[in-house]
Amino acid sequence: MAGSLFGPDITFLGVPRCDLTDESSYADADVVILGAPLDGGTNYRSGARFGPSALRQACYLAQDGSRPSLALRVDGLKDLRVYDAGDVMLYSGNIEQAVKLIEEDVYKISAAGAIPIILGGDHTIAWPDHTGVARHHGFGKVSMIHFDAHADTGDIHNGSLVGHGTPMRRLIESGALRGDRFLQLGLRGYWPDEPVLQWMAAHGLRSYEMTEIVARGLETCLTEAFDIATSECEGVFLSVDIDVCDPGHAPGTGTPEPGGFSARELLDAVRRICYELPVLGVDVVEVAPPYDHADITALLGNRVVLEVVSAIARRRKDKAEGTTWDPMQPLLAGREVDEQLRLITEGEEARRRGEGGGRPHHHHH
Amino acid sequence: MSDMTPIGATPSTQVPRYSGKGTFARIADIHEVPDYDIAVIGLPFDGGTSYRPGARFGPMAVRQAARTLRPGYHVEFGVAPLEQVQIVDAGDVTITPFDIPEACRQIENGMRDIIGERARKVVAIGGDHTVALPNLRALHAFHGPLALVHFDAHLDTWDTYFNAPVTHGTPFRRAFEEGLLIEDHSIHVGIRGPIYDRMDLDDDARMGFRIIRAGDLDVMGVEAAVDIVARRVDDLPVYLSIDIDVLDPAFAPGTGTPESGGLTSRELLRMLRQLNGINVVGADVVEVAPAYDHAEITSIAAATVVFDLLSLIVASG
Repeated sequence: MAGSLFGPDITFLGVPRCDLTDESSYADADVVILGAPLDGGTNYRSGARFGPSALRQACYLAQDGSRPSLALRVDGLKDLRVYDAGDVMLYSGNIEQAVKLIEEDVYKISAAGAIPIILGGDHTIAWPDHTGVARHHGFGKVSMIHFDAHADTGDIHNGSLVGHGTPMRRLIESGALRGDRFLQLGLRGYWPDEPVLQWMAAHGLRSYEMTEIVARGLETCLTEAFDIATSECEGVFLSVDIDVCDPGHAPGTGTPEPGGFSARELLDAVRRICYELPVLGVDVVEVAPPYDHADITALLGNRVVLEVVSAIARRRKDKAEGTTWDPMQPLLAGREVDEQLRLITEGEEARRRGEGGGRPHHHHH
Repeated sequence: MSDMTPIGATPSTQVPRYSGKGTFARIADIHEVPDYDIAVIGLPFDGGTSYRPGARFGPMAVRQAARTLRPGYHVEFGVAPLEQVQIVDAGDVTITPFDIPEACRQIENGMRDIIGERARKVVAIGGDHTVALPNLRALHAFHGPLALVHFDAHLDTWDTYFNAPVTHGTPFRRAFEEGLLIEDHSIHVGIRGPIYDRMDLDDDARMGFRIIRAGDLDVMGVEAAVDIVARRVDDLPVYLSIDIDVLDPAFAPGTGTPESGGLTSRELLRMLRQLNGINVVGADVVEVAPAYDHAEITSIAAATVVFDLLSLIVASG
């Protein structure tokens, strides 16, 4: 039974519904969106259980399953076959059971040849999200690019192996993710401590703290990370914790940390990743609506998902047609104007110049 | 009661109420005194919520809102509770957010330590309503079965939620099953709204609860309701559990499962004040979820209720 655990039973911006218990409903999917309304893994502000419903509807345009991208010149939601499988019916009071349920659903999507995009939920879900994808594509074969203020490589928090501060360690321990194919961007602040940092170093992680990103430039860091992420791997899992952005750009989250990315930087980086790399799965996590204001954070999370879908659509279109997307191209350049519209417009222009038209001139005062 | 002169609250005429220490109403910290008679204790846990979470910040918010209280003299109860007995803030129990059964063990142990062999009285600040179950287990160890007076929009006698037996919707069914309650001496007040199934009411009645619905108060009035409650619990040891959502969302917006048509804060306070004389051995005020609050409306109501409970215990003493 597909549907929403909380809130109105809607799909992501109105894309068609599929049902993960009925394989035929998503057999032809390119992308399947899945809600994971879990916040039982938070150790500070809870509320991310309402993330999926907020991310699905945070948009001022019609919920019509269509979003032509101005920049990428594709309609990701239409050019790709995108379905929304609803929410995993989980209970935040039982995180151990929840991660199992999530992993099974993500695996189903991957096994059907589609890209899962999981709407969190707190970051606990990165463990089952990536594992579900790696079960299909191969353990150690799916690298990860991880945007976050926090490393999420803690060991045991409050006596629990499962939680939103520990998923990345669990992934590396299980072998689903190679430590030396794990790229982190946006870390900052005052956590984790030295033993955890040493564990990360020992496992060969490449973690870009905010200071390095500012000193060397985001583009340089991304290019470097891309080389690592694609080496000896089938593809990339992209995990976006919305708190990678500054609290000014993403207030509605559980553990905000000042000094982060702007919304623009995140969207551009996500676009580059999904355009340039073979992305096999994505999650967008830690949007906590009770702490949001005027949907600022939900709108950003919604756009992260759209950027993913649009960039994947553009990547596939360019591959199929042998074209290349040019970010320098002006918005209106190269657009084939309809002949009738061109003639009408030329006529209007001519009249404005006083040529051949019978209409009176505009009076100047 | 201890023999020493109680340490009271920070004097507001000397230290402004928005400054100074962060205990409930700036009363004594548990570490400041050799012993105490009543403890306020925080139970920051919301892992049992089924809808909006956030009650883990309840104790913090209620203590902050309690700064506005003037805890010297309670006019309606006619007591100066902090002068008559030693009341302390025992801080928060350390509770895992990740594991409901483990959280319940931690709460029960924390409560047992605070209650102690002297069977001191406790007023707990939640947390979601799950915490009532370990509270009852702890109190039962000292008092035996208790009579429950339960103010809430919801029965909280459901069976399971997503197969989980212990959640914020199930504490009183589990308490009944475990023999923590005295049969036919418990009562819900303020119940309203639709339910999952008609059977829920039958189950509730079979477990020996009586119900005064929110709408019943309009008909019978507060005095008659108080009379029913008082006769129901007689002089038995009472656990008084107050889910802040018993109040209308207008009076308590900051809560996880708000339900229209609730009590006014004046009705709730009037009932508590008229229950003067019942034998409250433990109490809770739960489900304050500050993320959904505005201008401390809910936490001020809850702080006032906590102070009323302390005064009720002292006045009935």
